[in-house]
Order: sequence, then structure tokens, then C-alpha cells
Amino acid sequence: MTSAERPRIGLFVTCLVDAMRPQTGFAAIALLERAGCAVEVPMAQTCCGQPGWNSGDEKAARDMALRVIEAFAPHEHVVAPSGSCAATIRDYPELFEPGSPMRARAEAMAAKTWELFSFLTDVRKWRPEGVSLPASATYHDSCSGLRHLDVKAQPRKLLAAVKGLEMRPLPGSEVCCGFGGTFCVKYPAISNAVATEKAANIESTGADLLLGGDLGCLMNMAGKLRRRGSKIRVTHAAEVLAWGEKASALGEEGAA
Amino acid sequence: MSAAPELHPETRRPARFKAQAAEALASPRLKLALDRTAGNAEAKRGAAVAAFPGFEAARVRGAAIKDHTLRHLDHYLESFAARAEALGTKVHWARTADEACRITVEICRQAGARSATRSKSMLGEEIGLPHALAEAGIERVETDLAEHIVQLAGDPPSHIVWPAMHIAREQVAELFAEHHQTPQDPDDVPSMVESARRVLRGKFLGADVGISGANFLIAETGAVCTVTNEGNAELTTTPPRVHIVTAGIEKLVPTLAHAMTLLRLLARSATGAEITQYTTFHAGPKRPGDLDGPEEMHIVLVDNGRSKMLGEGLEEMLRCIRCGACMNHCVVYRQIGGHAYGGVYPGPMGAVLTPVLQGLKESRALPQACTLNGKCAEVCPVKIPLPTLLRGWRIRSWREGLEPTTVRAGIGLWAFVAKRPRLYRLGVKAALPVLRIFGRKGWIEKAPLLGAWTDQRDFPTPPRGGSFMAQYKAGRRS
Amino acid sequence: MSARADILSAVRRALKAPPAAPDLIVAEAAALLEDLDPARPPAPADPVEAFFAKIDDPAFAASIERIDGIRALPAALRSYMARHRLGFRLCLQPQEELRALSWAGFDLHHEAAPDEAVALAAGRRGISETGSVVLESGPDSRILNLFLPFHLVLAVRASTILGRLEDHAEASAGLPPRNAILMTGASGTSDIEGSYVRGAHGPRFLHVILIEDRPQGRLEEVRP
Ligand code: SF4
Repeated sequence: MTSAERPRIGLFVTCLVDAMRPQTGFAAIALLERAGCAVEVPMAQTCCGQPGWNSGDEKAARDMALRVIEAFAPHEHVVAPSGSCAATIRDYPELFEPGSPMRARAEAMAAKTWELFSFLTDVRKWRPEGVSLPASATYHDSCSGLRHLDVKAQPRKLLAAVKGLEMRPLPGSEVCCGFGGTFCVKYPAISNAVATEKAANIESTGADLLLGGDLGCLMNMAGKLRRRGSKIRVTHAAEVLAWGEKASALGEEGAA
Repeated sequence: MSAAPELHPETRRPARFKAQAAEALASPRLKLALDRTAGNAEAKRGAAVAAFPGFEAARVRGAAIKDHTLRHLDHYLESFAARAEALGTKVHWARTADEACRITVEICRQAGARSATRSKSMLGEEIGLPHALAEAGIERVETDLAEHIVQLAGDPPSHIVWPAMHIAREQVAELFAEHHQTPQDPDDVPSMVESARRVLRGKFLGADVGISGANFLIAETGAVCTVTNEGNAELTTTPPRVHIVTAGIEKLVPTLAHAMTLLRLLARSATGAEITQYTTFHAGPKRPGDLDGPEEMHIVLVDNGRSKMLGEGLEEMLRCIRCGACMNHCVVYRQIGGHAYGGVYPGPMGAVLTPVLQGLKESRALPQACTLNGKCAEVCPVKIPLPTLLRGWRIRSWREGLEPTTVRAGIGLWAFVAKRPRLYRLGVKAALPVLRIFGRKGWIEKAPLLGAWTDQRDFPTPPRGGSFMAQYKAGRRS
Repeated sequence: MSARADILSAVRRALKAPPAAPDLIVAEAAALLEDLDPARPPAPADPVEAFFAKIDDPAFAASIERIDGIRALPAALRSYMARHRLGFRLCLQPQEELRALSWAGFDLHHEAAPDEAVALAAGRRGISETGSVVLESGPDSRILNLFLPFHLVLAVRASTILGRLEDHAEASAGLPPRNAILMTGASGTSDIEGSYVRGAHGPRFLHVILIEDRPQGRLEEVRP
């Protein structure tokens, strides 16, 4: 088969999915395969480098970028179940001197990297079939995906194909949840104040489920909701798209 | 003067950001005031942008106009100065804040001034003019209503468009009752405004010098543009014998026509209006036959770090037209208000500017106190890439060794391990079961080293069965 | 070195590029004003009607009426002042076109007192995009007369109404007046908790009288 028919995808798992939520990674594989892709998971990957990049440690970020670029050299596209990590990779060129050979490689890497829902929708023009979940859900737009990669309509289009799923608008869905990577541990009190407002907005929808496309933000909101005693379940939208009613929520598998 | 109840102005500093933020977070009244005013501004801006389909194109044009002017700033400064002088305006140049204050105070002295009225100008705050006037024994009368309120409260401004954003109407009533010496009803805002009008009217007409800022300097004509909704700029600049403008050198625009695009952006972004009520162009002192106006007009052109910004990768920040939209839409500002930042300019634009004005060592916390969510850049009418500029400060701070050792050690450890995939996997493999020990019903409510997270929220217990990579290697595919 | 020389040389150093030729700068600046339509509100089909409608909108902090020819101005003032119980004392901006009218029955003066009740001035032009009236200082115009009164009435001729802000910039080429003010509604403030209050320091009430002075624009034909 030619690559146009079955493109070779490198899955960028992301460090949070790797450690905290393997299901999201397997859901991403399932979705990409259903969308006609050949998915590989390069073993040399760890993290996109964002902790270094956002802390101002350019050298650490550059070192990570070099490794990620190398690890995904053979792949036609790189797809991450996270707007935040995909956006960091899209920023890689900034780490290298304009005109240098590494800059060119970083640009090529940036150009072939996609956030999962955007890739499924914009590149593969794919929609899920035969998935159902009789429940109500609301969706939080994580900031990097939304503002850096224009991910807004894509997850909603995909979720609209899930039978029985009623989507409810989230007031302030585009407002940051207060996670911000290292921000939430550097400024926990401010982060908490932001997350508290977000949680109140989520609760106001009365939805059964909160969905999103970035595990960091989802863990932040889920953790806040649970501390408030809310019963709203939180999960990555990829899992709902892959498994419908069989999808679990954050905290549920760990309980087993 | 009465001190502000919750925050202590004399000790507020960028370096104390975290403590100041904690104080601010503890004040429900501050949060209420922020939500009322900034929330209102956010909604009005949203409506104004929705009603103007050309807004995005205007942003692009506005940014291009500012960039063009900044690229030829020397040319425009010289032509502005020449035109202004031809109109009879005396042009002064100030390299630093101190120099700007010295010049301004000297003009006041020469005019024999005992009192000066001031129309709100953030540049005046930046250079410390209120303090310099006080030292020189010149009575300073703030005429913008909000500035009048913060002056009575003994506070600095907490927002660049609504300086009194942090003060609730009940506090205003107390301040006015004391200083205007008339009873005030906190639920009757129009009467409080009326009270200020009465008190300030006499001051306007009796002042020796009027000091204003500038929103734009028109290079082609030498005119200074001020915008207000209250009409205080004109009342400040018309009756006194001397009008002094203090303006940053980045305020230039080529012509009046170029200013129009920026005026459209400014009013919509600040208050949601199409244009401010009074958009006034001041071109020199009173002319022969004029029925009123100042005998002398002075302009103090202030650098104070701006030429350095131009050369050091911060030139985009010089596009700023001080609309305040970035702070109104900032999740951090909306929780803590302006005073917590400890500098003159708060919010996202302040976090970029304060390190220029007060040094990165003093203000390293400000560029860090941001989630990099990008909302500020999305609303900025002149498309300033604020998160990128904040990241630039973080990089400088890292390079200059200003980040705390704990942060450096943490990132160092992370980088060391993350660069070694096998070590990384061993680390994950070892850590996950340890974390699981603290889990109850799928969630960790308290665990060593997780305190910054678990003090406020629960942490999901990592799954059984190990990491994604471990399971994938073991053959799991779905 | 002087501060001026220091600042200019610091700016030049920072810019790195050698200074461009002045005509190139002028050309570049002019190009930034080309093709502006996508970046501004559309041109009104009829600026006069648009100007009237803009100010007539209840959300706009001013009122407007139209009269047929400038000679109808005193009568319009009389009824405005009666409506608002303002007496007969009127501060008249000493503009020739206003002084030439017949003000019988009014108590006129030309310099506003700190607590002036009502003043009348003639605007230089109107801008329909924003509903602004342009006022200029000069030997016949006292700026304080526009700011001290509680009620300000502005007379504007229909023939001077322009469409957009740039049209005003174009029309005001040449030596600028000492003060040119684009006045858009009454003075207001939202400084106390963001709640809007009219009449901060300037006039609390602004009333615009649109004078129909165009040859084919008599009121009978304009009004439906
Ligand atoms: S940075 Fe942009 S949004 Fe913020 S005040 Fe300046 S112009 Fe306005």
C-alpha cells in the first residue's frame, strides 16, 4: 500500500499519558488505525521538552527537541493526544538558529506534527462510526490546542458522531483552567483560585461528563471537582471516541 | 491619608509577588470589585468586537502602523519635535525617569506653581511624578475620577484604564465623606460622581500647571492626542498658564490618519466604545487671539528603557497602546488584581514591562506567574505576542541564574532523566507503584512531594499495569 | 551629550539598520493607509442620515434634532431650554454665525461660569462613523465653554458631515488648530465599579442640532 493510503504515523504518547493514563494512548492508536493509519510508537521518546521550555531552560528544551526529532525521523506524521505537547513541537524551530540545518529539520518536524483530533478531522477527514454513549457531556478547550493549533471545532465534530451523547455548552470553555504545566506547582494558590472558578462553571452545566483533549488540564479539573465533592466524571475525549460507554474516567481504573 | 485596608503600598514590590498575591486572594471584596469592573469591560469589548467585522484587519493594520513608526523612530521623533517646536511647544528630552521628573518639576518651579492638576497618565506613574511633585512641595490634584479616588486612598493605580478597580463603592463613599466633607451614600454612585465634580471644579480653575500624558504623538503636525471619557484632560490643560505633557517615545504615529486606526482599536479594546467621548489634539500653546488655553506648552519625551527595548527583542511591546484588554482577560489578574504585581504596570503587559523598568532580578516572578494560555495575545489590539515575550524573560532569567536552586535542580533532574529513555522508563516504573500506595478509591488526597497539588485538589492514582510504554512493549495494542 | 542626542543615537543603535531615505518612509507610511476598507466600518450610504441615526440611538449619550436652516436655531434653543427648565441665560460661543442670529428674549454671555447651566457652540464638522462633532479652538471659540456647562448644545451643518474618521483627517490637513476635539456624547465615567454615570467633569447633557443647509436637502424632502 502506498503511504497516501495508509500513512505511517508516529504516536507521540506524551509523558503524562505514559505515566498517568495509558488508556488515552491506546485509544489514540485505536482511533488512528480506524482512520486508516499505520501507527508506530518509537521507544526513544520521553517528553516533548515543555517543562524546560516553559521554565526558560532553552538548552534542556533544545536537547529534548533534538531527541524527539531524531526519534520521529522516519514518520510521515507525528500525532499527539495533546494540544499542549503538539504545540511545543510546533515551537521547536524557535530553538535553533535561523538558516541552520537543525532549524530546517525542526521546521519539518513542526510541519508534520498534529494534535490528535485535528489530525483525524482536518487531515484524515474521518468520523467515528458505531460508537455510543448515552450521557451528557461538556467540553473544555485547552489553551495551547485552541490558540496555537486552532483546535475547537474538531473534537466537537467527532463527538457529534457518538450516538446518545448530548453535548452541553460550558460557560467560559475557552478560559484557562489554571493548570499551566509547572505554573500549578509554582503558584498553587493562584492556580487553585482559577481552577475553582472553572469547576463551578463545569458543575453549572449539570453534565455527567467533562471531556477535553489534554491530560494535564483534565487532571487539574478532575482533581478540583473531586475535592469539591462533585460527581462529574472526567476523561480524555479520545477514550470516549474509541470506546463509547466502555470508556472509564480519571480515578476509576486506578481504583481497581 | 488613610491607608488601603488590605495591602500595604509602601512594601509592595515585584519581588514580593507571591506574598502579595496571597493577600489579594484572601480578599473577597477585591475579587468582587475585579469581577464587576473587569467582567464588565470584558463583556463590552466582546460586544464591540462582534459589532465591527473589520476588527481583525484593523489589528493587523494597527500593528503594522506601530511597527513602521518604531522602525523609523529616530526620523519620527525628529520630525515630531520640529513640528511641535514650530507650533511654539517647548520639547524636552529625558533619558531616565529621574531626568523626566527633574525637568517637569523645574518647569513647575519656573512657573511659580503651587498646585498642578494631572490628567491620568501611566507614564507619570512610571517615572514617579507624584512623588517628585510632593517632594518639590507642589500640590498634586488628580482629576480623573479613579485617580482622584486612589489619591485619596493613598494607593497607586491597580489597573491602567480603571486605576481604582480594586476599590468598592462603599470604600469610595467613606473616602469622599472624609475628604469632601459631605455625607455620601454608597448606593448612589451618581451623587458620588457629582461630589467629585464639585470638589475638583475649583481645583481645575485654580491650578497653575496642568500635566497630562499622551495617547498618541502625531509626527506630521506636532500635535499631542489625549483621550478621556470624563473631559478632565481638557479641563486640566486649558485653564492653567502652563501645560506639560509627559510622553514615552513610543507614542508616535506618522499622521492623524494613522492615529484613526489605532483610536478605533483603543476604545473598543478598553471600554467597548467606538471612540472615547473626548479625543483631543493639543497643538501648541495659546495663539494670538485665542480666547483661552495655556501660555506655555511643554512636552517631555521620555526614553526610560524604551530605546533598549527596541534593540533587545522587546520592540513588539512598544506597540502597546495601553488599552488594558490583556489584564481584563488574564486569569491571573482576574484573581489577584493589579497591586499584587508590585510594579506600575500590572497584568500581562506589566509582567513584560516591569523587568525593563525595575530589573529582572527584582521582578523575575512576574513572567513566571502566567499559564502561557495565550488569551492576552488573542485580545491585544496590536497583536503583541505577550506569552512569547514572557517566555523570553524566563529564558533570560534562567541564563542569568536568577531562578531559585530548587527549580534549577528540579528541571536539571528532569532533563537528565528525560534525555535517557531507558533510565526514564526505569524511573517511571519505580515511581508509579510508590504513588499508588497513597491512593484511596482511585485518588490521592495527600502524598509527600505532591503537596503543591494535593493541598488544593486530588490527584488521580496511576493505573495498575504500569505505564503506557511498559504495556505497549509487553504487546498491548488497544 | 544632550539628552536629545543621546536618545536619538540610542534609538539608531537599537534599530541596527541604516536610516531610510525620508521619501521611502513617507511612501511606506502612505501604503499603510491604502486599501483601508476591510479594516474600518463601511462608508455610510448617506453620512447625514447615518450621523443622525447614530446620535439618535438611545444607547448614545446625547440627543439630536434637526432644523431647517440656521435661522431656526434660537427657536430650537428656546424650546430645549424650556424643556429642561434652564431659564433664558445662555452662554453663546462668540462665533460669528451664531452671534448674527436673532437672540431676542435670551440673556446672552460668552464666557462660561464654573456652574454654567447651558452653552451653545457651532461644530466645525460631524463624523457619522462615531457620531462625533469636531470642535476647534480659536479667536471665536473658548474651550472652557464646551466643558463647564451642565448642558452643551452643539450646532452642526449637514453639509459638513463626513463619513469616517479618516475623512476628518483628510479635511483637516494643514496647520492644526491649537485644540481640535472630537466630542462624542456627553461626559461620562465608569470609574466606580464600572457602573456608567453621565456627567463626570464635562457636560452631563449633550444635545446636537443638525442644521439642514444643503441646497436640495430641505427637511420636507428628507423626512419620509
Ligand atoms: S499589551 Fe496589548 S492588550 Fe495589553 S494594554 Fe497593551 S495594547 Fe492593550
